[in-house]
Amino acid sequence: MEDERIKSALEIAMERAASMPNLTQEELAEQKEREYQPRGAAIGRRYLEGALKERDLLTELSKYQGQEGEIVRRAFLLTLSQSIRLENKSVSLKALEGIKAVEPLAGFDEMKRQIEAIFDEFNQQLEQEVPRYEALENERLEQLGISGSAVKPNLEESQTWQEELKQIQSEYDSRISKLKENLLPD
Amino acid sequence: MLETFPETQLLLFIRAKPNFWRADILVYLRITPRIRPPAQHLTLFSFEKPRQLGYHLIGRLFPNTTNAKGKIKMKLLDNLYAYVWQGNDNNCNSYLIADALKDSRHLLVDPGHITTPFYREPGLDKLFREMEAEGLNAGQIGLVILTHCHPDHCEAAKVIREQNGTLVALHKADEPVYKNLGGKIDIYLQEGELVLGEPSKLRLKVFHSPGQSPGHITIYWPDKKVLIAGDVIFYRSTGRVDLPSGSAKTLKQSIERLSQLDIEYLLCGHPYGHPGIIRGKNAVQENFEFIKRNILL
Repeated sequence: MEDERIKSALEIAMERAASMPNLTQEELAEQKEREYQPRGAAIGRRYLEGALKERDLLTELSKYQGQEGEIVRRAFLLTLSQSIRLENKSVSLKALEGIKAVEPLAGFDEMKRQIEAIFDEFNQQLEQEVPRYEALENERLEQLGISGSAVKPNLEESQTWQEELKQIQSEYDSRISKLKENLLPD
Repeated sequence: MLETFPETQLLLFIRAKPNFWRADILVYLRITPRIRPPAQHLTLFSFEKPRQLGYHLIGRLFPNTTNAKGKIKMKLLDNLYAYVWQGNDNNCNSYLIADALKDSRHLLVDPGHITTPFYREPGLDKLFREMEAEGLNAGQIGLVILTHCHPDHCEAAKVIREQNGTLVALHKADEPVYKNLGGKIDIYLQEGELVLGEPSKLRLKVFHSPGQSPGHITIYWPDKKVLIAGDVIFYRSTGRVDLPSGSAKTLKQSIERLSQLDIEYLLCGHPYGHPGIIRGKNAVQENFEFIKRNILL
């Protein structure tokens, strides 16, 4: 008689949930990671785009506590660290300041100084190489019958320069990557 | 033939009725005055009204002139050709200096539209056909110079570059617009001397002439006293300054500067009310004077 009574929606839902396999601890952690990781990354992006001030970062991150807070914080730091790139010095420096505001590691200032030095070295090398490659391009244009003070080659379309640039960049990128590893907490 | 450039056109439009065998016909008289105020030449004679009413253009009649569409070739000097646009839509005049580069490759200034935006007129095809009629192979275009980066001047450069590996040159200040249009730039042209050919046989001067666009350039050929003026100056008119990045003040300065040059052939970027090719020192000076007196106030 008991079994034949009409079940409420809640009872049906509870029964179905009970029949589902339980998630393991790892699966639960993964699920949390999937949920909170984008939130940390979004805070990082908003900061880099200027929508969030440096002073507001801690307040924003403190909205998430415990395990969730840890995931958000890690994702935020990862986003900032990934945006430290040779192509954009100002964004990189902003990212460094953001990391410092949230994770004031010992020796941070020294690390920042080293990264800035790499940027300067890279720019100096470009300043030396660009005129050399422009001269080579000018020679190539002259062979095609195009010369004069009005002519300035666009190196962006020069295959030889692009190959050289890639090589120079990879050398500096690997030096920056090594330093970046120390920026993030273990 | 081109000296009698159309002043008046009769345009025939048709609109089909729901019961198929009946139709409305509209005869549209388009009068092009000799003097057009700047900034209005694109809107004054728009076909938009008949189009909005559901009419389609079926024919045109130019009294006292050719009925041909597309670009009409003119040989100005031994190796200097003008391709004057005569279609319905807006498109630019193109200019070609044959055998200007090594291996008899040509210099082309402002190829214009590939296909015009409203009436889908084949601007580039027509230009190539006109070149080939003169024995000039379009595959031999070695360098395209863009006076500025409005689509009616630069659109076809992308295709020519892709097809022939032609180099494209323009002023750096117009680069952002050209890149937005998907174009690639091989050479930035700045004010100075442009030497073409091997051994150098053609000495041109590039003038930075902003106003219609920030990176507008004009090409001066001192030996032949030719100025390729792009959209700085037309017959009795000037380039527009109401477009984004346009500046009336800088256009005025550019025109005043160019008027100091010794010019026998003033080659304009558009055939507005005139083919846009002004010959003879006096006629050129008179045109500059007219503009200074009536437009550059």
